[in-house]
Amino acid sequence: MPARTLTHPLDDISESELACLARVADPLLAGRPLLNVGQRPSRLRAGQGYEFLDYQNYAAGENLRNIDWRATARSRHPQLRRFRDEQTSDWHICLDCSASMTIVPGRKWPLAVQLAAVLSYLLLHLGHRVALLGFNDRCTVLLPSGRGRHHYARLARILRDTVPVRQGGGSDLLQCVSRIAPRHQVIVVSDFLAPQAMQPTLRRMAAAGCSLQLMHIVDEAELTLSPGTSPVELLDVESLEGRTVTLSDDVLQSVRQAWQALRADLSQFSVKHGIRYTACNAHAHWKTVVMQHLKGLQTSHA
Amino acid sequence: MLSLAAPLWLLGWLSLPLIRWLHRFSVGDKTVMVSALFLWPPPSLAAATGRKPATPDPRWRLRALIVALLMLVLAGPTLEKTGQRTIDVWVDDSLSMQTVENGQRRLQTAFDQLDGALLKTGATRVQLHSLLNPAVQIAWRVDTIHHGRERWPDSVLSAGARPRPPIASLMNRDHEHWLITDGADSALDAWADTAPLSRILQSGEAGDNAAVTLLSARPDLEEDGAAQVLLTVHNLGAKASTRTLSVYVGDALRYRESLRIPPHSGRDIRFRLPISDAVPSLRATLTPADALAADDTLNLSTSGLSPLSVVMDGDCPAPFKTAMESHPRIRINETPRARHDMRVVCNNASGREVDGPTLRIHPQHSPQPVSQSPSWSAAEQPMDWPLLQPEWLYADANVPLPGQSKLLFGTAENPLITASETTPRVIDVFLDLAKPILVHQPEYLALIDGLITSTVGRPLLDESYSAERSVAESRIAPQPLATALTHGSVLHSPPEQTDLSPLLVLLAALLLVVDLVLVRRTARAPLGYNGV
Repeated sequence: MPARTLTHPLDDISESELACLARVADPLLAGRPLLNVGQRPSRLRAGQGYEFLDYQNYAAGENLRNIDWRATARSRHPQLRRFRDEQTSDWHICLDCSASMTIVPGRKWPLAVQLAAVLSYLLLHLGHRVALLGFNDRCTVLLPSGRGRHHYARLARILRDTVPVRQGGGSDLLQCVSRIAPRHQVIVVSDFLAPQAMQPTLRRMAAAGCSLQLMHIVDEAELTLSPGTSPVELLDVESLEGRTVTLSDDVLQSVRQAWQALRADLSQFSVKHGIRYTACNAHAHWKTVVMQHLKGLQTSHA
Repeated sequence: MLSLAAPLWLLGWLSLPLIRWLHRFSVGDKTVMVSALFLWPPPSLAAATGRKPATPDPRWRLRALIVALLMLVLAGPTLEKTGQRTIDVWVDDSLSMQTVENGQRRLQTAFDQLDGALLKTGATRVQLHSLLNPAVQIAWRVDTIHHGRERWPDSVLSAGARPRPPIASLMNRDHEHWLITDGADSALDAWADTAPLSRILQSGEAGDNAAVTLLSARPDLEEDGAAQVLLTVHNLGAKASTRTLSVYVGDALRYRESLRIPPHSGRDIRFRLPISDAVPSLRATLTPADALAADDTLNLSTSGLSPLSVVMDGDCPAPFKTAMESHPRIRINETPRARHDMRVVCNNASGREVDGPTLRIHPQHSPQPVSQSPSWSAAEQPMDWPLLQPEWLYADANVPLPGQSKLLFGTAENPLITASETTPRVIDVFLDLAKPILVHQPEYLALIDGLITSTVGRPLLDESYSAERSVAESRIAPQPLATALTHGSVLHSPPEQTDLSPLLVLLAALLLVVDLVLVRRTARAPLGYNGV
């Protein structure tokens, strides 16, 4: 039995660590290198976005998709359309508060809370608006969008007060869809232990133009059941459905295979829909997971 | 044996299925929580037995047991300590219990009632006590009660004494006390009212009984070989009784009379009866026999009514010899070596050793008047000695007191009559029994009779023999006793019962604590991986 911690997982995150991480993570989250270290980006700076800013002469290496052919015809020189940098866009952190997150206390839920807090800090540090949504079979936590240090304080306080249910409920990401506007940024922190790994909902959000990032917390301890010859009553911690199963080696092997297939399917789904997908072990440190995720973002941008 | 004060509360056990139903969605200790059941293979593929509806929490059994225990507590369970139940049965085996009714003695009928009553109680240890003879105690187990009855001694049944019940305050309070009686003895009935009796088994209905209550005989001083007989017959019934009284000397019928005795009264019968030395017994019988035949007959030994056989040795004074021959209760035996009851030795004639009660008359060589006033010894009371005047008495002076003797009459310096302190008794007389002034006194014969009486140790002239029984002993009419006791209910010292309610409540509380501990342990442990 793991040792029970008397402190909250957020106690492991210090302000200095977040500040250091922010200097590293800002260019990664902004999608390009930082021009001036220590300066905050301007809202009227060209960058990735949907709102038109101005035209610029084409230079080698520029994205050909942004060439405005009408302007090129008028100026007799290839012109690129530039858009307003949307670094200060709206982000939604969707935190899985289902019972499966606490089935092994002290593993998945603390890391999920830490990831939600750190990512929120990093996004708020860049001036983005961040909202927090917690879900199981309904939306249990709702922190409207906000920015600034005070908003992070509110978000951290809510995270401290949030306790997942121990039994019942479910993992229904669909409960958050109605609260997310189209084309917003969405980070889902979950174990994705739901039928089809929440893919229908993710597909729906992607269709709505949302930019999705998935942080999949996996815990192999859930599968480390000791084999036995006597039947054991298995009870789903969320649906409370029961099933009597003999924990033979074959059964445990098939469960492990099904679990790995679920991860692979989710990973392929993410690649197919351009979703940044990061899988991490529950016992990993939050800093490692965040850096792994940000490096993946940089790679996808490149 | 377990008994319930309010058994209807046990209907609450019908609610136990409800407890199981309430636990249908609960999680038991042997249930493993998993985060994604859909990952697990269906039962058909995993060669496991699937069960779609969740099994109830196994702890429902514990909680159902708690509820069942509480329902049992409400039912008021008590445990009778039948295994240690000890019953002391006090048996009135007095004469009235031998009354024969319906061809069976009352005591036998009472034992039959005792059989049934004891088998119903379930007591395993029963002890019978005789009220006539407290030394008789018979213990046996209920399953061998008939053997115990067979062991009841007949000597007790015919003891003929009055019941001697124990002191009520000294009776063992840890035991149940039962009484077998017919209720005819009023003293025993009074004891039953105060004793801590749990039950009284009363038997008997008949009340009419006549009894010979006294048979007495004394020698007839006017007729040698005859005796005066006094008989008392009582009718203890409620109606007059006509009976025939027969008196037998040995087996020979000597007297018969038909009597009509009024109810609740007695009648005395006196007659003279010749008796025989060869058959020294009298028997009075009432015929025909009634319900209690044992008191219709009374026997009396008459061996003491025969004349005293006396052998006289030596030359006894003539007045003394005449007085002896004229004594109505003495028969002089002329044969010195014949069987005798007393020997008289005069003038130191016999040199043989003392072989029985002996009266020695010492010779007087020069008798002188007694100078001092002699007196009778107080140690010989209550024998009535005659009052002898000193001027009637003559004796030799300076006669020493014989060894191992005590003074009966005379003074310490001049003993006149002494008695040996050994047995057989020897009386020495140093008086001059031939002195005319003494012989002519009326007290002379009384002195001679007193010497004989003192020698043999019993009065001859006023000797009587009697056999009697108490009138109350022959009363057989049952008196009403405590109704509740005779109907089987228990008034005193009920069977010890143990209330099981506190024990069951304690057990339920203990189970509740165990349940709480299990619940707390389940809450602390990882939901999915405890015990696997």
